[in-house]
Amino acid sequence: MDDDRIQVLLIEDNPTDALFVRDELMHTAEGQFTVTHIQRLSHALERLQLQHFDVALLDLSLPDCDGFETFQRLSNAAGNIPIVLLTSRIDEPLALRALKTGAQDYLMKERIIDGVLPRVIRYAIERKLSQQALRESEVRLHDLFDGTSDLIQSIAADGRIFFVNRAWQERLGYSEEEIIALNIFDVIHPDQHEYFRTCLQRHLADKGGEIVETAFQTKDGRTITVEGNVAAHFEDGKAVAVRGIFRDVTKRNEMMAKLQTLTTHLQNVREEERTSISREIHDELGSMLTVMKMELGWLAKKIDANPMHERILLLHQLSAEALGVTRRISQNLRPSVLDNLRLDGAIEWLAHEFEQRLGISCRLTVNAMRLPRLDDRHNTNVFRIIQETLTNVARHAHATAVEIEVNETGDHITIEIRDNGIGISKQQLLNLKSFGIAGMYERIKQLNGVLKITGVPSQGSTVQLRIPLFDFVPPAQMENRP
Amino acid sequence: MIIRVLLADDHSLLRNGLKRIFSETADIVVVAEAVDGPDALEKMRHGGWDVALLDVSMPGMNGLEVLRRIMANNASHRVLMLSMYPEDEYAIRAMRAGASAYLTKDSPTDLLMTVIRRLANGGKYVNPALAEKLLFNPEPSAGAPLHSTLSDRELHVLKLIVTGVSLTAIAEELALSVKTVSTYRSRIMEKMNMQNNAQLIRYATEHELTE
Repeated sequence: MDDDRIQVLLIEDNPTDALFVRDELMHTAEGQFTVTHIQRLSHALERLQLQHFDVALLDLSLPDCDGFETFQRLSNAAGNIPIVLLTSRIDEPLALRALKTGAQDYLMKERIIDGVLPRVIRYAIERKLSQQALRESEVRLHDLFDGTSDLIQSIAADGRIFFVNRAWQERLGYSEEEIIALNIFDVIHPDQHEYFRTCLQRHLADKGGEIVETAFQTKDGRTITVEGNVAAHFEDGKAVAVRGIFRDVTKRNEMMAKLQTLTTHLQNVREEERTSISREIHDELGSMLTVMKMELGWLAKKIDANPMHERILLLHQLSAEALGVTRRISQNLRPSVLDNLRLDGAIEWLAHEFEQRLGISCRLTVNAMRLPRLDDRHNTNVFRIIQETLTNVARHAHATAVEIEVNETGDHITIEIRDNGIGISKQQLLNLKSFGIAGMYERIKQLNGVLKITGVPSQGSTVQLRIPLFDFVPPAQMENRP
Repeated sequence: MIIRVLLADDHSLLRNGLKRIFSETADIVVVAEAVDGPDALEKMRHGGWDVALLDVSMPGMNGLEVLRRIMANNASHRVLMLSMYPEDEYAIRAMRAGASAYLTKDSPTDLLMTVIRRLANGGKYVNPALAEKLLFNPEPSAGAPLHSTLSDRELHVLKLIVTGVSLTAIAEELALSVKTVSTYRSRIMEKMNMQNNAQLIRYATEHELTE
């Protein structure tokens, strides 16, 4: 079939040479090539517009064009077709120059002997194809490299920058020339030098692998927080480069900080509201009911005639019950112990109340002669964390006993809550819908403390709190200072 | 014998209710009323009363704090904590701080008057369940000197303070900020129930803490 044949465009003004080439192709590889012979470059260029060719054989000296320019014009017009030059001996320097700028091969006409030409043509076609494939793949990689919004860098062990991608360049505001003279430590925020140096050392010793979070400084002095990974590239066991791929997380971190502030605010607002409602109910309503009960008691003594006496006793009983209800509502909103007792007293109440209500034994040990007086923020958050823990124990743990241990070291308060239940699972801990647990972490963050929750199947769970005591001054003493 | 009662409660409704009750007795007279914590402390210090009825939850300073301070002055005061809170945690702390009785406000008035009379005669009162608790859970620091409640670091700071080292110098010696040392000082005072350096120094001398 004609279609299977290799379409050869032969551009040659010398009829003898043309005939020789055509003959050579027909003779040594019959039926494999279709040769179209053209004598002028301008005609060849026109022909290329009309027809597809697999390869062009080009004589450099043509009637309408001569020398290197001949190759250039053909190459410009048909860059994707492999070009093989047919030269005479004196053309050799020109041919070499053409090879460097994209010609596939050259062949001295004198040297065309049996079987060489078909092979040269086939190689030229193959080479051109693989060159094209390589270029396409390079374009794709380059597109990935420069198209991504992640910051990519490759640096030497001493921090010299080998290369960076476009996003890196744009985000940090340096020009290509400036980057050549740049060291990575010109870009890392001064506060992070120490961290990044150790990080680099670790990776050079091939011990890295964790997520790196650090800060860059842009050319105009802004700080951006980045997160990503770093890995060294080894050749013959020697680290020759360290690549880093970072993502700008400044906005994300700002959002998270905002979210944190909002959560804290919501928790506080809720607590304040509960406190004020609880106090109102307990103090105002409670006092009224107390006095009402007192007066009804008095009345019952003064009026001993029935049916009045019995009615008064009924009212007396009702006022006592109403008092009980106000107490319960108020305690559920905000236990009074939180505002009237120290933390140990509040925890003691919590343990006691838990034991009474649920029948789960709850033992409290306070290994401090006297806990320091804490501010309301500490009291409330610690109390609510323990309360949430006990709620979780009651709901999920199937425990029969809980132990709470409170220690004071002078600088810290540590609290451990252990139960003998089924043990919290990893999935439960990681469950995004565990708002209770999420709330506990939010609270501990407000106190700059550490919270650790662990579970051992069928042995129980442990919640550990560690709270620093040194970012506040006890409120009561402040007022009393001379 | 007339029993002079001091009534400290921020709710006038309740004070008036109690006064009406007492007005029917021949021996209980309300001689002073206080409307908040500081007011209570001042009037109790002023004297002229036999039994004080002290509310726990009051503005300014809560009743337990008032109790601690007044007892530090004179441990023979007869104080009846009259509270809205039935929880043992309050009663235990009140009794340990030196109250002679703990009653909730909704207790029968007969009981209240009985207890006032008992206190006036030098007695004490707690309900039987609470008595048992107090008996079997003695105060952890009972009998131990006050400074045993301090952590090592706090004790160290105390010793430096009482030997006259300035807070700035202490901060330098311990490589801490002045603010932190000042917090330590506050906490020491607070734990040991003291108001000023003079009390600290007196205590330290008595317990031979000065080196």
